[in-house]
Amino acid sequence: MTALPANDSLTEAKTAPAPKTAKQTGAHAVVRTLEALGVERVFGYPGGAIMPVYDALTGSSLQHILVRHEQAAAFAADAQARITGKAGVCLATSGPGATNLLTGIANAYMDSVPMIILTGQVPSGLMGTDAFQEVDVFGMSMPVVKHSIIIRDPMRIPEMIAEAFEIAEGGRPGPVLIDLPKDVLQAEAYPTLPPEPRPAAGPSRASDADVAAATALLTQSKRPVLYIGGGVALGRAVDAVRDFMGRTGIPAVATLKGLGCPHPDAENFLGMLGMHGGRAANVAVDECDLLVCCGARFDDRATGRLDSFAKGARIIHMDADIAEIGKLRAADAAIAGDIADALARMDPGYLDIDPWRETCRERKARHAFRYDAPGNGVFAPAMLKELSEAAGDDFIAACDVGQHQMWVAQHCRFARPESHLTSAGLGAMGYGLPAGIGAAMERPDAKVVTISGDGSIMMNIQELATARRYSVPIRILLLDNASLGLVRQWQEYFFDQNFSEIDLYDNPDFAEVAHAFGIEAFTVHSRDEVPGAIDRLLNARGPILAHVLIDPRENVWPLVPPGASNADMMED
Amino acid sequence: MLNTLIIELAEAEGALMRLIGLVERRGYMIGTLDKSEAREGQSTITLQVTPRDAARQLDVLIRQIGRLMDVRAVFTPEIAAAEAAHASYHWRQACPPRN
Repeated sequence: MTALPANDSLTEAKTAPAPKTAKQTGAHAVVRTLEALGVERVFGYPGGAIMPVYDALTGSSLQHILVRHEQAAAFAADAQARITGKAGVCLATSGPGATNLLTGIANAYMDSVPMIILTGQVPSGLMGTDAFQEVDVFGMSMPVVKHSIIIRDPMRIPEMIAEAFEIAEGGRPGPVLIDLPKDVLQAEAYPTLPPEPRPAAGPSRASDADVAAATALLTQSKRPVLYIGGGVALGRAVDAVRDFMGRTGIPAVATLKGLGCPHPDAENFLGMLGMHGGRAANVAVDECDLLVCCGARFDDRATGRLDSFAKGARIIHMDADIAEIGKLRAADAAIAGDIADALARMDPGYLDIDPWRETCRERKARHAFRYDAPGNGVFAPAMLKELSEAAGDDFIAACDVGQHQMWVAQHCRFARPESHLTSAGLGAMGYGLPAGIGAAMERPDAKVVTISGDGSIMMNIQELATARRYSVPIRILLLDNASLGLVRQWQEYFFDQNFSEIDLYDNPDFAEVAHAFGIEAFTVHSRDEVPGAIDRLLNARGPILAHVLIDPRENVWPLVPPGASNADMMED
Repeated sequence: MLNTLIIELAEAEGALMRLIGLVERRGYMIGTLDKSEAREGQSTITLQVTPRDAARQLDVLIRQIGRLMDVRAVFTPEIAAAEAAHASYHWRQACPPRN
């Protein structure tokens, strides 16, 4: 064997701190600015145009997490942001690196998640010449970012990055893309760093008149319902909502993103509304005379047929983003700004709604989900319920997209909204595994469980390597029905049982796949193995995967057919 | 139905593309577009827009435009400039500010 040349000097150069006299570049300014702004972790993947930043990462306090596909970097940063409320950061090179991020950027945009996306770009002089790995990611991402910038002057790097964080985290949060031409990253530059992180501006305070108008509608109502969306968590209004529910006793429903905002055990919480909502929730909205919309946006999956949604109700619409008010449903009273503040100031006194409350509670009891499925096969809803209850308040579900996602929403218990990470607005298969990695890195002591399906897991299965590389304490519950179940369900009911391209009979053995990545894994075949499987998952210290075989014929119930009113839901 | 929108826009890279893209994406056709010369880093854009379907509401579009970071003010000829300044201030409070 030929001896390799001594590489001590190379190692030394890579590990030794940079001497104070070393040349500082735009890339160093990027890294130092992130450090100064309090960023601790970035998710990324290197490549040509972003290499100066990777060079400058050496010796930085930033923890760089090397994913195996840029999309996963965006999803992981997104999950971290949903848990912390602070912008997650992802990093990729130009061209394919940037385009691979786009799904993750759109995901953050649709769910109003604060995120900073740093993309390398070809040198300024080559921009617009179809250079190698050049794409106009600044232009391509415009419809799915809150804002974006190209930094042309290395001296402005700290200031512009700091401003990007303010924009991402302020008001209604969202992703902000920063495109970094390579020549700017390589230019010698000694800009002044931002002195300290600047707190994002909070939302405005509603006027007394607006609060009074909303309160007056409440006092006149006999059948009010609170309609709680993701804006409650984003506006840090969870405690205010819980307090308001306790004070007023108004029955509440939640959107997919609103789950975890009402206390899961609150007796007036009727569950999720919408396409896969419960009967108690959907009927309450159908019959209410006042709908108090807190941080929700009348999304079609929540409303069903819009013109029959809460058709007899007046609307109070509260949102940090004034552009949401009146977008799909006119509001009788509007509060644009701080939801928590407005709820705290709304004091309607005694509300004469006892009969309505009783009707809602009675309906909630009568239409509670049942878990007594026949047979000895694994009944996924029951397993998910037991899993979340066993995990307790430390449970964090990182969901993928499909039937399992709806089962998680329907049957799991969420102590807080950040316990439920889900690709709600975009519905992006492949979110679950990288989101679980981002969540488990941020909260290693929590019981983070990625819940995925055999379709979704394959969208980002390469991230098993990331879980292994960093020994991420993530549990993966893979519900395998050997098909694209939610598509199959729609084909069964809305496409004359023409089962087109949904059969995944040739899936690999997922436990063996996990083993190949060096990850502990086991397969669950029947119901009697479920308690042991839950124990094993929750007590694992490193990454672990449970491959759970379920009946391909199992469907998600109830179901509101597309285009139908929520009151016309189909049930098993 | 033809509607006129007047937008005070910062001269930032991509600002015009972002504005035009938003108007198209939110369901409006742009009939005419006029951009003034920039003064003190800001120009005035005048757009004539037509909704693609009857459900589109101009006030929602105005608020969506007002959300853009590079938009300083947006108004219609019917709204006096003084009111527009107030409305713009209100949007900035509801949405994140930009220094």
